[in-house]
Amino acid sequence: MKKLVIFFCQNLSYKKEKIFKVLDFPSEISIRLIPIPCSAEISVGLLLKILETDLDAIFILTCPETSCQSGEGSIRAKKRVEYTQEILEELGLGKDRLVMFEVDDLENLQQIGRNIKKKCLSIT
Amino acid sequence: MPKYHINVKPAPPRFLPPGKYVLIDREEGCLGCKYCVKKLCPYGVYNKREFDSIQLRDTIDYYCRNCLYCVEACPGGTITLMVNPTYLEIGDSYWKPEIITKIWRQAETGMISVSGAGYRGPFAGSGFDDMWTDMSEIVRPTRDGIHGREYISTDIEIGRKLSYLAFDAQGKLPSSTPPLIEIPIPMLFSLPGWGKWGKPVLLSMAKAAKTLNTLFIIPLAQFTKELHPYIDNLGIYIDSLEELSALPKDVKIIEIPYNLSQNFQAIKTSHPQTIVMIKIPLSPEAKQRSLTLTKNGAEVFHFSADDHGLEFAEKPRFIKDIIKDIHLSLVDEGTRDEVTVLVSGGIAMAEHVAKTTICGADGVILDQVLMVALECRLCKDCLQGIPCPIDIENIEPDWGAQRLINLMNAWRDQLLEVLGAMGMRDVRRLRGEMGRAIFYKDVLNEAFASIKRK
Repeated sequence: MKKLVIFFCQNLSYKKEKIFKVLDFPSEISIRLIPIPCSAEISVGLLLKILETDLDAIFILTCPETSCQSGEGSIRAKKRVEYTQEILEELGLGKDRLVMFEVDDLENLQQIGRNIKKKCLSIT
Repeated sequence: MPKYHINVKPAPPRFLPPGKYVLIDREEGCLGCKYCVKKLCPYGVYNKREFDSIQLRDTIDYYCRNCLYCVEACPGGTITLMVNPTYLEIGDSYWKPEIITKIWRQAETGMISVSGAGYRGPFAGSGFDDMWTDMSEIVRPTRDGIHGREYISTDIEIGRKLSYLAFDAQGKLPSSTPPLIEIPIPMLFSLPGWGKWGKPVLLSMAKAAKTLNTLFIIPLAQFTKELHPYIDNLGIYIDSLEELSALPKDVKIIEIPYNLSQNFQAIKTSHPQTIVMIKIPLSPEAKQRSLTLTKNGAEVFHFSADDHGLEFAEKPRFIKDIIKDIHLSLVDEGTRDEVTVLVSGGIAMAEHVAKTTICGADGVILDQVLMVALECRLCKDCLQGIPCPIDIENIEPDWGAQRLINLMNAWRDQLLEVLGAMGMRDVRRLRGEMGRAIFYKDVLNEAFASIKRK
């Protein structure tokens, strides 16, 4: 069974239950949805520590860069994710284990759900 | 008489509770100062920080005491605190995250938790929050504190009390006096009406009840041989008359539901030395029921409200208002002193014990709050068959007992503070002392009744 964790910014217009419903995962993927106050909370160390555990992948749902409530939260998160992806590439784990998505609207969220499922199945 | 003392030992949580704030660090803006504010943290939280693999979080949020020193002092302004959304998720509208985290801290340390960030209000609310206790004699116990030379008693008696004694011609009592149990704290234990609690939970509650010398009320179905050593501190709840024969012989107190109350005399004749407690769900009929039962010789009432302290009715009143009503009508009948009134439901904080006592209860029966002390997050996932996120079924009984003992010590200390500040030396004196409380509704009426629109 694939285990993954999804961090989502609490300023998204969707609540936890809604996101869970829209993403609509099959039962062979176990997911944990964790709300964070701002996507800038995640740090490189934290992401790597999480991947040290038995989790397979991390996905991050943030607000679009232009509408971040903290001003630059999404930009910072993006930079940190990019940096961590580089480290993952170097380690040979592949950067597909850590992906960040910007959530615009409901359709976008459904698309993201499909993307995550595809990415999940490609991870070995 | 030796002073009653509770031994407190720290019982750290097995799962780190979510902190109120989350630290957000803008590493990219770091100026690289020689003396970083992180090194100067007065609580050393930056040195203690680790990774919590269960919550997938930095443990710093738990250790942080929100003094905001680092936020204020960082020259680059790179550190921010934000409210943790996971923190806001725990509990519900009545059992608020503040209440739950406070219970956790008290269960961990056994001391009164201090919130150093000040209190900006509101100063009145609904439920227990619309009454204030009168601490006008706050000068009294300060000489050597609540644990000083002047002993403040928190003992209560459970059982029927005679209003007078009758003697026969030889000057002897014609019959024996009814049984009476004295417990040193006005708080009893029981299980909440929901949830799946394993044996270790029951064992830790029984252990704590024995150490504190209070009572733990347990349904007969959950009573096992392992709990027999604690029988002196157990009360047993029975659902039907058939269960009566299965009762252990030396049980001191049994609880029956209201629908068995017509069999009260029969139970009393077969078990004369056992106290029989009648559980009455709080509803508009509860008052009349308690008056009739008192006339018929009832000993102890257990009035139960729901988890939010509301009565079972279409337009529910709050527990303290109903208890006040019942207490006053028993006083009018002149029978209040003969029965013991215990109350359960919605008791979440130490002040609620004092407040229900002021409204006329002798003591309280705690349920859900004890589970919170054992780290329950009130997610009620167990009702849907989802495994418990904190694995409450496999706790260590000694650890669990210590958490409960710690909580009771913190609550008793707060009760002593209230009593001390009122200039009282006995919790039995506090019962029904409504003159020593201010009710928000009354204050509003006094101030604005004359200008109310007709």
